[in-house]
Amino acid sequence: MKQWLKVGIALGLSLSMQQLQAHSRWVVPSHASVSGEKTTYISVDASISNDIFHPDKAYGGEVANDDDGFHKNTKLISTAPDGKTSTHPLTSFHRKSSASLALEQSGTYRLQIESPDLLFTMYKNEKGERRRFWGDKATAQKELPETATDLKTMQVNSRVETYVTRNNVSTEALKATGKGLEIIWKTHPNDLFVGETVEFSTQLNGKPVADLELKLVRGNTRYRNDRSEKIITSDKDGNASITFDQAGLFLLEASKREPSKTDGIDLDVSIFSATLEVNPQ
Amino acid sequence: MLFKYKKIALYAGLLACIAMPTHANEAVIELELTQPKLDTSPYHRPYVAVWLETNKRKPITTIALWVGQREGDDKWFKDLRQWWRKIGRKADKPTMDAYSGATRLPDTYSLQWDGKDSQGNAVPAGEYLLNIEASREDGGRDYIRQKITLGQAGNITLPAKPEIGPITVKWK
Repeated sequence: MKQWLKVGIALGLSLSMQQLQAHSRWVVPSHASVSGEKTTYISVDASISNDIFHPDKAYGGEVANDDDGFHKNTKLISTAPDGKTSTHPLTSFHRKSSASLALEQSGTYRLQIESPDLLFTMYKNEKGERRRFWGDKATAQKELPETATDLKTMQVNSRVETYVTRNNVSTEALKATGKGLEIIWKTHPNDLFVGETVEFSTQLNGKPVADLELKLVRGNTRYRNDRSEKIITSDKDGNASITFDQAGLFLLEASKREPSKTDGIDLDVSIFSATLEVNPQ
Repeated sequence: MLFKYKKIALYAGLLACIAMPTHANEAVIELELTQPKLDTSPYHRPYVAVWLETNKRKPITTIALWVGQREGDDKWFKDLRQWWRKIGRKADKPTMDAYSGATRLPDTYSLQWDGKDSQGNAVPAGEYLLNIEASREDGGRDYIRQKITLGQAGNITLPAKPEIGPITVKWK
């Protein structure tokens, strides 16, 4: 993986445990709603960039210095209206990675960028400075000098998704997977209009997440001085709602960490991002 | 007056979804809808939809749908965003074909609704939402939603928007 990404995430961890996702990961479809009787094609862009939705770094495909195969193993996964999933290779264009997709069925597709989990160990060096080591605890203990203290091993999994509907909306592809951090939509994510309340619930590994902070930001952050981020917090049952006051393309992000059940890992960190198209009335 | 009659006769045939009454006074809703002449080039005729919903925004019926008639033009139907989400994307092609007509040149058109839902059942008195939407390629989009109370005769003139109007609505 490229060094900047590693540094970015590690820096995020050392600075703030709340905001684990130092760089936003997102996936943007050329069209979120299409009509017509025939198979329709869309293109899909993915990038790792805090400049929403202007791409910064490739997210999948052939990328230089991809030693651990992060980009090589990053794929676009589509779940069709009938629930069938398929894998699509991404092509890297330095700043972004892209794929094209044929929408052969009528209904809602879930598009997801699937990438390998990140595994690293944070520690303090002899000067008490926070550092990270790319590897699990056993390897870290073996390879780090004895002066390293406060070893904390983390595994980061991500769910980066968006939704596209050809003709009528459907819900089969939106079913909960029970894995990682995810959103269960009560309002259909391809039926978002200004001034209407959108309801959803949050789940981590199939269980509701109370008090989860979700960050919402409208695209084109480049062209305004104030990012105007909104924080939405889930209630005790994991439910939350948003009423959009503007149309546009929005990024909804959240992260959640919890003690890991895996040997040699202290924390499991789950990150979620969804790109949402909001229509004017 | 003669002009108006001619128009109604002309377009009655195109609005096949409506059991077009032979006398204008059988209509529950009558609309005079102006598609404005715009000084723009190229001018693509707008897609226009007129439909009725309950006051809870449940669709009742499409009163008019003016869309491209060439094969593949249905890929633009989604641009009538509100009509599309409420009716279009749930309807199959034969159903839409039954009430759709070709796009129009700028002019004033008369539309009528016979008081029946898409299944042909009479719609009871009460509050409803009349929706008018126009979307033009390489141009703008306008959407008007007007509350009307069927069973209480009334009329209203909706002011012109850039893409559609003015619209005069009479109901009873």
